[in-house]
Amino acid sequence: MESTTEADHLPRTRSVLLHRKIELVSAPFVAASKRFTTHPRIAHLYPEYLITLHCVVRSTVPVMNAALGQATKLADTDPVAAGLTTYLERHIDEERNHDQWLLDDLEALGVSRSTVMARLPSLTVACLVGSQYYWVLHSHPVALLGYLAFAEGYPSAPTLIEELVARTGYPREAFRMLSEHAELDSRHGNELDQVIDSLPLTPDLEALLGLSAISTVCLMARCLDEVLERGEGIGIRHQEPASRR
Amino acid sequence: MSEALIKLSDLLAQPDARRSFLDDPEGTMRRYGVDPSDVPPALVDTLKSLSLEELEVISRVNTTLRARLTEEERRLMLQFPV
Repeated sequence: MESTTEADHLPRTRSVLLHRKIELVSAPFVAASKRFTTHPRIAHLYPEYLITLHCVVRSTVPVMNAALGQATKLADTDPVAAGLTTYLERHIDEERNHDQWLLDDLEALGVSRSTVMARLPSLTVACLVGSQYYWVLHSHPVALLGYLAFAEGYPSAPTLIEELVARTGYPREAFRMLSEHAELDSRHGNELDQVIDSLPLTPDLEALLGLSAISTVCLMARCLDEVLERGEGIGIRHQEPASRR
Repeated sequence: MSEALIKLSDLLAQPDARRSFLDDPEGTMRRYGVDPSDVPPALVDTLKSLSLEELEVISRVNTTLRARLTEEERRLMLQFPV
């Protein structure tokens, strides 16, 4: 039986409930994370992880722009959409150019931009991002907050990043994406929770937010599993990075 | 995974049981041989908050359902930042 934690006694706000839904299905993500970070070939896996991340991250600002466009169209008659526009306008600026951070990280590992851009995004990546476009454009743009709640709400622990630096032997310049997000997303996650709690969500929209978040956890776990599979021999062969410490 | 959690997952895999769970979680668990006191209260509490659509997704993900993440698990999570 699991013991009671401090989190069990938090008030049942919508954001608290959303995180409980996320954690309900988090076991595969935790397991994939552990397999990744303790893998004996972590130095081969890390560039694969960054490349997969790039496939996802290059769509972040476009999908947020799509959500902003939909929210703006609905805002006059939909108070949830109106509340979203302010948040998205600010957050789009905060997320800009993070795909460039990834390209810089990969360049520090000796992986060229052309190699990254030549990679075909997997079906899982397309499902992960494509489902957000669908919900945003054909259901309600608030769905995107479920995606962001998991992506921004669980930053890597600084100790984990230090372990990765040590275990891969790669230079710190190759860890900007993770390090910056470990710092930024502690704040972004809290801000997002406040936005979620401030929106007058109907039961249907709250369920949509939950569906989006639950799907995101499951698909991101699958993305990590695919990184592990590729790193274990069936993916690209990386040249030994020139810049190992 | 405890026997109660296996039975609970089996229960949620059945459409009729899911619908019944929405109306009467504890009663449905008992009918399907799950003693509610064998399931972590926080897990039951979260399941009770789900819509039918969310329960359907959860029934398909084929994972061990769980309540809160522990601090140790949080520390192990590799972020997938966007």
